Amino acid sequence: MSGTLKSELWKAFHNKMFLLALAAGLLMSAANILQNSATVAEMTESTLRHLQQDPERFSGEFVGLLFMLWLLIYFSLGALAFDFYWPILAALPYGWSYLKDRRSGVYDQIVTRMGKKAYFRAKYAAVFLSGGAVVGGTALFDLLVNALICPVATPSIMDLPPVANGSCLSALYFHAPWLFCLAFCGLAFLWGGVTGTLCLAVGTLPRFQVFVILFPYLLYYVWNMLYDQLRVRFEHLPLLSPLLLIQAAPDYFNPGWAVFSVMVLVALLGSVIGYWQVTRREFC
Amino acid sequence: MNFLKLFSHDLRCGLRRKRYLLMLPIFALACASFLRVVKGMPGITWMDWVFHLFAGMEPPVIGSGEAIVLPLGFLAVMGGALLVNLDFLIADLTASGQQVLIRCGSRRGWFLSKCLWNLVSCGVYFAGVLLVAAVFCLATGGEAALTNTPAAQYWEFPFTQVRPLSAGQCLLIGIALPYLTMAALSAAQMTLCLFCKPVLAFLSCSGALLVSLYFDAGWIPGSGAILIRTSLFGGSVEPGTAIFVDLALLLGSAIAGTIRFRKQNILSAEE
Repeated sequence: MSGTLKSELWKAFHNKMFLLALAAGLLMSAANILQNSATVAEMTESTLRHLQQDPERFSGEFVGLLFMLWLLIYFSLGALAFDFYWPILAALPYGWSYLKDRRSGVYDQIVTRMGKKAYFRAKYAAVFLSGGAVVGGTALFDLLVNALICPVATPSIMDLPPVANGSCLSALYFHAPWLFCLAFCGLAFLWGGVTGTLCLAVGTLPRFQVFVILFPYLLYYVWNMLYDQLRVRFEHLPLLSPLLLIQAAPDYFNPGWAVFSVMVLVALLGSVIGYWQVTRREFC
Repeated sequence: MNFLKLFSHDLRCGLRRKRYLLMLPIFALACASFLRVVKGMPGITWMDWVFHLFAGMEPPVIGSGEAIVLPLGFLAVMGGALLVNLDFLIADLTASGQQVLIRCGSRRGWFLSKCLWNLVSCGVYFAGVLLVAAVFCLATGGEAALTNTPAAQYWEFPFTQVRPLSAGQCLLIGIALPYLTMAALSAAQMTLCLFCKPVLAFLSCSGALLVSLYFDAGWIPGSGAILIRTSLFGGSVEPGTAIFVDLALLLGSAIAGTIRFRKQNILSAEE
């Protein structure tokens, strides 16, 4: 088992698609950082002007822009692209590998030596970790680079922060914002992981790898459209769409229980159907 | 094998796919979000339903910190066309598709046939969108008219100078422009599939839609389909500019694809 796991992990982190996904994520982050640097420069200039005009009224505190302009919070073009395409980033690194193994016959070689269950466990772990690494890694990279250019201060309610009171981990946001951001990086990692494993659930049904990669994105998109329709009927419905739940400050109310229960549901979908696909379903 | 036979083969194989039907529920979901507007408003026309699908969104105020809610229905309808046409070219470069390519005798003819097929496929897809809009219109007691109801657009886009348009203007921004934009992006995606992985081609073209929603500029491919931003509604997108951009993209994709495909190694095509 450990040999296969090592081999799967090596393949997951040493292939072109993983690098491609990482590059796409970093590109989105770079777009966000570029736009943020312009915003920060503009705000710093305006703050200094106020300081010169009326030094007595200036409290000496800067607005903690980092915790407002971060990738999972802000609405820059890069952040919007990340919020919209992150399921593709999660599936791109290694989600397609099961279909490839089946088509090339590698699957048969492995399962005759170590069994289907062990193969599934190794594949699941590799897909989970590679997807999580790209999505969580992009969020962490953006946080750290933004910290180099954005003023850091604990958010105050007077700054009209984007995180609503009562939403997931909001208590942390107002007391330990770094911890809040790191916790959401962890959540992004988990979302990336469970989303990547959804590719196993689609198994060998599509003919082309591209549709395996796009499957989680399409599923989340339709889920989101259905959720929108439900929201019209039930106004106080919390956010239940995985496509938006990765955001730290979505437009709708996202209590912690909603975030975790939807994540568990997605993980169950990926693991149960994926297990059935890998171990029970015959390749046709 | 002459060009007409090749083209009719493409039509036969490419249009008899279940995915056109699978997209109908998605169009229905996109239309469903307009039901709350229709409820309290008499005299809604078929064109209002079409306008709802292709309206897009008002230009966001960049840097204001306000949440940007993307028009998911618009993106689903436009992005769906990209998805439906994504694999036709790569499928025909593998398995039995290669036999057809070898027998047709001309790589240029083969690729141009795919370009024409793309136009027809987008037409069929677009007809599906219009059909679902018509079904919703008739089911809710609307009129099958080619003019718009400004109140319906005002309800959705309060910051836009909505006004009644003539049938010709409605056909231009509600039918012609979205169709051209869809076909142009789809052709660009097909050509990009020759240069990079299909998933990257899809990301690039649907990314163009996202960029066109974010920035208010008529020259970005994709902005032609956002009818609420056209100059007829006081926006910045001139229909003439959008048509020019779309035609240039269509032509550019066909030329670039033909040149590229002449030197394409078809044996290395991966499924």
